[in-house]
Amino acid sequence: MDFWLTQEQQMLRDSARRFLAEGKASGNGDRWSEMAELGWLAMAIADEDDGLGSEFEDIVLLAEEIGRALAPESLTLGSVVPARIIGASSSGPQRETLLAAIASGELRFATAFDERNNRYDWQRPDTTANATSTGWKLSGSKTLVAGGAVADRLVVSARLGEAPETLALFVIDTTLPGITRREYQTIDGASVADLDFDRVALNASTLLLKGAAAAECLAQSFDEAVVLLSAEALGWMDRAIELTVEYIKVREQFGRPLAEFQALQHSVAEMYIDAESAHSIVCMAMAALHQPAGDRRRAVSACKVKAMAAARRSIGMAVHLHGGMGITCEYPIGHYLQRVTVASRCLGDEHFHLERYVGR
Amino acid sequence: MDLAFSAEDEAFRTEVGEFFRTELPADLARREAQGFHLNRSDLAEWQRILYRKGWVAPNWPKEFGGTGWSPIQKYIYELEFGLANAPEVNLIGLSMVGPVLCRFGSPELQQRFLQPIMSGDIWFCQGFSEPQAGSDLASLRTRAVKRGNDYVISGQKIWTTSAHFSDYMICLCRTNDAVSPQAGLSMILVPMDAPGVTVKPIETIDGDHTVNEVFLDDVVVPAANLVGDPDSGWNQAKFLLGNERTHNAMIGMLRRYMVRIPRLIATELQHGLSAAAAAEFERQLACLRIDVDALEWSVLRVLAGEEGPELAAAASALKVCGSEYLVRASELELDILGPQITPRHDPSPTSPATSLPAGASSFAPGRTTQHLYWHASTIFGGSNEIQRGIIWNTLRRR
Ligand SMILES: Cc1cc2nc3c(=O)[nH]c(=O)nc-3n(C[C@H](O)[C@H](O)[C@H](O)COP(=O)(O)OP(=O)(O)OC[C@H]3O[C@@H](n4cnc5c(N)ncnc54)[C@H](O)[C@@H]3O)c2cc1C
Repeated sequence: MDFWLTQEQQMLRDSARRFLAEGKASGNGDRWSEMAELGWLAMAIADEDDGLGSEFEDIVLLAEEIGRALAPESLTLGSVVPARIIGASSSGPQRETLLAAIASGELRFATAFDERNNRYDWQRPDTTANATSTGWKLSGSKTLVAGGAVADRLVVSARLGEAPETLALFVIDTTLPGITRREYQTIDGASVADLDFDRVALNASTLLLKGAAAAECLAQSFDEAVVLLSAEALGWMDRAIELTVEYIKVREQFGRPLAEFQALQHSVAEMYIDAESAHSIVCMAMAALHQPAGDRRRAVSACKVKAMAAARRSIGMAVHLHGGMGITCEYPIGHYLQRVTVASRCLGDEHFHLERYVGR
Repeated sequence: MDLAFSAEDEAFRTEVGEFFRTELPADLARREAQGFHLNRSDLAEWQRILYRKGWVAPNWPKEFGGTGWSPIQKYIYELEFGLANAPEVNLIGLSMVGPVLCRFGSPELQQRFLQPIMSGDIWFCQGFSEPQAGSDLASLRTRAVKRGNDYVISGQKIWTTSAHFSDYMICLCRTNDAVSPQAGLSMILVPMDAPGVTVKPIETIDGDHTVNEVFLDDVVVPAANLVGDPDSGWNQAKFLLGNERTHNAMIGMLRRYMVRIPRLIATELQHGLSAAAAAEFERQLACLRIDVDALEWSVLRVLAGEEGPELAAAASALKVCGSEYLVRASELELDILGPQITPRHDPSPTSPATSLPAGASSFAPGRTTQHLYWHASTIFGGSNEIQRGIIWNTLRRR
């Protein structure tokens, strides 16, 4: 075993940190095309598909930096997951074109798997696709689609009408007739959308995967996304510790820096303990991603539970230690609290993952 | 010892509950239950209703317009108030400034302020905290200098809740440098429309606007607006904050959560929440209920207790528990509602039937923002570390 970062990994981390702290969007909106230029959007695409074929560990490093900077761009759901699912579909000109479009950032992708009634379970969509003479007719609704308002293409889950148990994954053009989008913001300021599909006519080629292949690919993608979100939490916690240490060293009450009060020193020490244990569980989950599905699921769920609980506790403490400043928008620390409050209920909440962990 | 509520207390509880059921405007209760902060105009009608009933100022002595209730009755009122989703009106004026004026104010100040505070014609905010004086309140720097028949006040206040729609601020100022920090403070009523007063909003992470910065730049205030004697502000402030003491346990608010949480669970069972999850949430609710039960009895014991350091310690325990339980109760709601708490929901003043983002139920709006706000409750009203310090100071002297 070796926990050290390679030189390349250190460079990736440092350059990501610099870019995310300073990098400005060239056009209007976010920094997606800059991220494409940095190669970040190609990391989850295999070498043989002209991607970078990066190690998952590298993507995790990037996620940590995204978390630390609270970057608004959803790299995981906007590039990693679509790349994995499209990459798993059968080869052909469409597949090559789509992967190239992800990597270049030329088209924006979003993933539409959450529904009002499936409570994080991506395997059980109510959205249906019924066969027609030319392809499929898609009906249903998806919620909380990250980046859904600006997406050009959606990777959507549905069950096939004639065989209710069959899960299917499609890639669709968001401008098709019958699609309505409703954009809104989440508490942490991200842009998301609800989408309604009213008998949207899809041609046959939009079907990427179905049946067991779709289920397995979606499960694997979900697990990767969970680990990446947990890695973001490591970034939040590291930054929260830095901010809090800086703050209480400078802030004076009762004629001395707050940092001289031992109660507060110990509170920060607890934050560190949380961050450390979260870091370890993310390592455990990364190691388990290559193991059989059952082991993988358990480790990934353990990771989400532990990382989010640690992040909620330590960031809550960080806010508290900032006093009134902690709840202002002007100070950065409160934004981490908004983020962890939302992220704890994304990609499965504590209860969902505990149930998976015990094997139900 | 007699551990039962008397028959009169029970009858009182029924009477109070009935009053809220019939008199509290339903739409106001619905908005208050959501937890978005209401502003003065939203609350004016409700304050008039309470005023006409004679129940607007339970914390005042009867001769000044109070209710003459026993401590237990006041507590029952507060609890039922919370349970009914009744919004508080001008807490600072009614629960803090009023009692201080009744006790320390000149007859002239009592004459000018008490009745309008009750009727809602005058709203107060509390200008104690400053950028450099939070937990260490006694180090505050806002200065009031006597000039003829006036005080001239300069300095800055921060975190001033409701300053943006208040008529007056009860301002703690330094009037004497020659004595210890605590002994040189005075309490002055500052009109918010006086030249030199500037209010700037502070944006907070719950997305609501409650707190402000207040800048005081050579503000001229008649010396008659001084409360009590010069340099006696610290004791008056302690008296004022003492009125908050059992209120800090937030029992009414906590009970509100205890009532709503089972309804959230029932609703979500129809939207994909598993029976196992529901059972787990019910267990967590039970743990919380037990804690709140104990807290409620602690409140009753403090209410019956005798003034002194032991009581101060017990009151500090109430504050620590109340604030921590609020964070926990509101967090449990988020766990139950799951993904639908992530949108930035608008306060929905109209029909609950309109469709909400993420297909959320009508319970969702306000849950997350209120949870974020409760994170401030471990900070305000004397932070929890300060409360623990008070407890320690009692214990070490025993
Ligand atoms: C939502 C909100 C509303 C408010 N409304 C009002 C209002 O209407 N009027 C008003 O006057 N004020 C108001 N306040 C101010 C409030 O009283 C102060 O925020 C509080 O006193 C803490 O001060 P501070 O924010 O400067 O934090 P600090 O005093 O800087 O404290 C920062 C952290 O250090 C800890 N700490 C401080 N001293 C010690 C110590 N000796 N030992 C251990 N730990 C310590 C604190 O517990 C806290 O965690 C409000 C605050 C908030 C957040």
